[in-house]
Amino acid sequence: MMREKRRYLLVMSTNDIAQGTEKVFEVGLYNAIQKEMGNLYFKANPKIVKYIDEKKFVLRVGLDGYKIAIASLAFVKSVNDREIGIYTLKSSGTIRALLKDAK
Amino acid sequence: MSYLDGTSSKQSRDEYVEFYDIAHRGAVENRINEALGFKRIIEIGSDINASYSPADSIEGSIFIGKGEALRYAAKRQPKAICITDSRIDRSLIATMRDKDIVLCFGFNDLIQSTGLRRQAMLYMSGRLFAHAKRKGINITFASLARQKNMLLSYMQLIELAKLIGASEDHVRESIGKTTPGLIE
Repeated sequence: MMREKRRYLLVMSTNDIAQGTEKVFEVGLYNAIQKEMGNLYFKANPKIVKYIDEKKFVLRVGLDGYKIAIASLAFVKSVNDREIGIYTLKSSGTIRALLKDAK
Repeated sequence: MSYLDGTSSKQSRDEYVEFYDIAHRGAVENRINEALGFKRIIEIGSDINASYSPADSIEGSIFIGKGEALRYAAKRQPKAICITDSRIDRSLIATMRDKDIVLCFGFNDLIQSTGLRRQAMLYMSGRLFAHAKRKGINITFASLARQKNMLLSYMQLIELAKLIGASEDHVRESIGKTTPGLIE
């Protein structure tokens, strides 16, 4: 069976993600994305795989749904009842290429 | 594919083309344009003026409005018009085509809307886009953000424009060439 193809998105938030609160932030973010994507959430199935700093992180999404995920992230303006802005800066097939010029 | 400056790979395709966005002055922070992938974010209030009423000074500005005000505004030669309710006005579109006025789709209101209101806006924006494209109007896309968290990266701007029916190449050309043309 073919391994699922994935896309990695470099994402920046306007708010700091404090150390120790990552899990809470992740759950809130996934809920916010699901609210925007609706029944198409499963196509992207997003997961945060790496934190770069307090504002930037790498979001892994399925290749089938990554374009919808980028559009959905534009609509996410509140996570855990806190106002936020989410910017998708880059996308790549590997984390290595994604982070090449990120820092 | 390689370029003369030595960069290569598919990622360079985006870096090679320069993109522009338009936002209100309070939304733009120092050097945020670089992080979002734009060569420049054109600031309303400093780089270009915005008009909201036919009583304002319209020539050379972006007129943001709806309804009858748009027809009056179009006669006074703004650089661009943003139709906030996305309703198709055939005579307005004809005037815009004759006077070479750009139609600007701003996504700030769309992002702030929710539920069925957002779906209605997407539907009507799509209809307006299709009509304008068929009539040969110059079209561009912008965030028109009023706050920092309403800004969009170039990737998000492209994907939102595709939601209303634009092709990726059209959007890239619009935000790469048509948008900077507004301040020339």
